[in-house]
Amino acid sequence: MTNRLRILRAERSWSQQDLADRLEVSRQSVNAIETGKYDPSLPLAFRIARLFALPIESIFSDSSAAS
Amino acid sequence: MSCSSATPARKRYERRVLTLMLVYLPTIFLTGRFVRHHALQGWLLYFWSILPAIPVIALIAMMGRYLQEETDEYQRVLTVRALLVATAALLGTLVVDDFLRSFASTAIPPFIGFTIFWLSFAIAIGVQTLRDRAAIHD
Repeated sequence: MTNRLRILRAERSWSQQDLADRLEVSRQSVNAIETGKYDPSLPLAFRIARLFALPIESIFSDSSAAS
Repeated sequence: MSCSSATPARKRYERRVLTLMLVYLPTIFLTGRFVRHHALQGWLLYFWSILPAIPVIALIAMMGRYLQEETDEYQRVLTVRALLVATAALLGTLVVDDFLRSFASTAIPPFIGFTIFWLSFAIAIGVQTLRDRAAIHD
């Protein structure tokens, strides 16, 4: 799964720590999601979508579905 | 998992572990003293022998409580992965010990399994933290 988290964060000039604080997770978690090492659960994905006021599918995409 | 980035649940867990260690140290000291200096027998010997195991068992229970309280799902995943590594190391040690007992009439010294479990856990947590730290982009 790929995501646009880093781009969305950069557009708002947020650091990983800023985003982590807003999501109430650790910076390590934000980094793991951004780098694609960890796919968030559905509840966390919804929280991320709510924070950016975007639908989930515009943040996360299934890279295998594209091929 | 560094102390500075520890989640509230992790900090609570670390406080509980510290408290348990403060209980464990006098318990093991008193047990050693009683068992060595008194010719204990019967249920009294069993009682003093098992007593230091109670805070250690509580330590395992505290890990379970931490996993329940941890709201950061990625931290939970890291901890569970480390527990799996530690469990594999412990099972490997127990299998080696069983075969040594069966065929060589010898055994691994006491507490080695427990030490290997927590050492493997700490190494697994450390490796994952270092790997994540190396990949941090801001």
